[in-house]
Amino acid sequence: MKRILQMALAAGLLGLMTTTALAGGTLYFGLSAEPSTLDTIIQPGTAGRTVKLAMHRGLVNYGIDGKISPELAESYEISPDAKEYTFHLRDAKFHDGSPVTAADVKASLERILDPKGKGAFRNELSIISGIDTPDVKTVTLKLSQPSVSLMGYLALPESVIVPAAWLAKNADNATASPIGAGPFQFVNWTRGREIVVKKFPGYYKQGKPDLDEVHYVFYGDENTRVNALKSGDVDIIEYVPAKDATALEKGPDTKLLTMNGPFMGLQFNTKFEPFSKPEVRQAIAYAVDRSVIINTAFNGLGTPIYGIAIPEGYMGYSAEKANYFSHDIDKAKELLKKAGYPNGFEARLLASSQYSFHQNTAIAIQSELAKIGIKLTLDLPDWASRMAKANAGDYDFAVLGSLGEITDADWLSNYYYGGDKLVRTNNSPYFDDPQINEILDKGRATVDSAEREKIYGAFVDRALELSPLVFFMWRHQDYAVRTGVTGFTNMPGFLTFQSGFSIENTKIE
Amino acid sequence: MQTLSTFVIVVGARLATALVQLWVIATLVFSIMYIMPGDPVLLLLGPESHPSPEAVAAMRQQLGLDQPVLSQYLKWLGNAAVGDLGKSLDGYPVIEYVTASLPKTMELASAAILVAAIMGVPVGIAAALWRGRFLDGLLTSLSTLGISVPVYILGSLLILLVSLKLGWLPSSGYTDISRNAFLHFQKLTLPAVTLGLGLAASIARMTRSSMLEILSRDFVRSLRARGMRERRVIWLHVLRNAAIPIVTIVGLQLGNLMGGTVLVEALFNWPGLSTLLVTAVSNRNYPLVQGSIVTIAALFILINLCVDILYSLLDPRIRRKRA
Repeated sequence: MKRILQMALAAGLLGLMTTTALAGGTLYFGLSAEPSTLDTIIQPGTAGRTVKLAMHRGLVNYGIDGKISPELAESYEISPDAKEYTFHLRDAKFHDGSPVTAADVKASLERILDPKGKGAFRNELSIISGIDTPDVKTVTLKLSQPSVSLMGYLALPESVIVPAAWLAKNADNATASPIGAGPFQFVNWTRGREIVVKKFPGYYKQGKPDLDEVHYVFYGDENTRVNALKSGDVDIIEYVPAKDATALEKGPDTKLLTMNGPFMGLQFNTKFEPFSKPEVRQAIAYAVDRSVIINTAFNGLGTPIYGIAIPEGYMGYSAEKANYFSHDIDKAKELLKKAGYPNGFEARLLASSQYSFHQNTAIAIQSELAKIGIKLTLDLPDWASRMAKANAGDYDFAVLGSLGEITDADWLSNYYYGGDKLVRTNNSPYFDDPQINEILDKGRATVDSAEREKIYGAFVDRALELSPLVFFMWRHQDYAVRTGVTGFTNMPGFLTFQSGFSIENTKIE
Repeated sequence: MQTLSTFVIVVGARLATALVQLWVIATLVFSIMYIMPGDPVLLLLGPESHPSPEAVAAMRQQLGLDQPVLSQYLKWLGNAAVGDLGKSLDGYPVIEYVTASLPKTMELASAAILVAAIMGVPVGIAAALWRGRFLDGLLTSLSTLGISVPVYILGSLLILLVSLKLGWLPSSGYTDISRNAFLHFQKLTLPAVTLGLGLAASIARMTRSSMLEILSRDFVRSLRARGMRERRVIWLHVLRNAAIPIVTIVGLQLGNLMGGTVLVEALFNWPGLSTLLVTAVSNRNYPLVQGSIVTIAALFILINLCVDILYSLLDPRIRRKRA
């Protein structure tokens, strides 16, 4: 009897130990918003991307080191003229058990390329002129013109691969349960509250993911989100407000994952007369004391920018040009005088009251520009109105808080390229410089990286000279986790908004 | 019999008024949403995206947003009249959203009233019975404070103290009762107390003054003179007579309570109707905004109607006066 008891006890203990070792547990992730959609080809903002990256993988994705990581494609080759990309698929499975094939890749990419479709990066990917599938495991993309930036766009959460069969049935059904080949599979979406995903046992990376279940809970209010983390209701939060960063960093129950990600700056409507002159835009770059913005809007957290917002280590970055501007009121006044506005002028600055840092950046700029005689009226509607105005070019100038979508230098095209659509979300409306357009076209098509460096060097010179956009600072884009949560990575630089990728490595004690 | 039929007529007239009120509200909301800048299609396709004009047009058509505003309005009104609130812009029926979040708001509001009644009535009685003493002063000043402190300050302080400092209760969120009942009520407690405290204070003050007024009436003196036991006088006669203004105040406050839920739900991430509404507004989800506002308005009107009916049950004189 005693023996049996001992054995039972031992077996029980063993069982307990193995379950502890295996138990991944449930993680609660506090998102800053409820995604508007999980349709893969739409850019839904960070919250939606975070959920997408739990369920989906692309041919390639940006890995936690910031480099392109082969995912559903095991390997790939780029032809020397950068006009043909060949991908070799690995043995991966979708959540419904079907294998990932070349036909699925073709169907997924074609949906993005559909000229009448809603693909967010259709423009950027539209250089793909043909998709060949020589066998089930090989996909060849033919480009109409050489491009080295294509890989970056294929790595985005909007370029993930979904089953062709699923698409045929559900492409237009917004309420269908998503299926992908990522580490977690969809369980349910309780509207207004949370999206739940569970571990996909057939994921192609051995031993991943570790967690059994992730609940993505929507916390629209930043204070509530921070409190939820502090009290342990959730294990990870995104969009840590600057005012709470220090406290969360101190812990002891929480840890801050901090990263310089997006930049803050100004986009100018060049149809508004004073802003059509480069001298005026430069005067503003000289007039604004960066530290006032950093202190007013970001609790002192941030890094000033005195040149173009190219992160150190990215192509085009030059230490020499990084301090092109300085805080110099006399010089600013001189430039204004040269442009014909010795007494300044009046203008409307568009920002949004929905995000305190946008509003406070606008307030800081207002007080700084008053010093050189530029009197500002602030236009601070909610975010949806702000975006509508931005997309209509309905402003004199606007506070810009954004980043490059890809890490390849071609991210600059979105901000500086003129072309046939002159009013976009992130450019300076109606700015169209043939020289800049030419440089950007050339940069995109050049394979040799030494030569590319030179091209983007020339770009920086021209862009600073004309300054259609003026940059002020890098802002922190922070995540915070409960102690005991490991493996979640705030991905470097522009990739911070794709950090949701690292949920496949995340563990909880 | 006579009184019953007049009762039905009164209620019927009130219901008809309520429908007109609802129509006015629905029309107002519809107009405001269309005046407001911000394009739902753009938000739906991702504000950072650059969707093709064809995609935008296709989606506009799919959602019926390409129709003239008047025909959109008439169509919506026609459907709403038969109880169909339409589809949210993400494809789900609005009614599904509303039925999922309405019970949570109702639960929160009911819990708040419970908290308010449990705290407010005894405090008011105590203050009235010990009128002018130290206890009265203390309770009266506390309830003044309770009325004056805005819910978001009270809620923040409670979160700070009870969940962050002491770690007794979760700071936010919602758990299904079927999943974990204990956690469900734990998460309900703080928001309910936050929402209920202000009401408790009003109830306490109203109970006190109403009790005092009744206590000074002649019939109370007569009852006492006849040798009725004090406890019986207070509980059976005074309190019952004092109850009418208390019910009035609860009824009136119930409307305010619905307003308070907007802040409390946001503060505690309680996935109720207000949270739904706030999110819908920022996404310019027109059908969802209309649906939830009409529901909230209907609720508000219904509550007032119930309060009216409750009066007449408590006090037959009101019924007779109406008749």
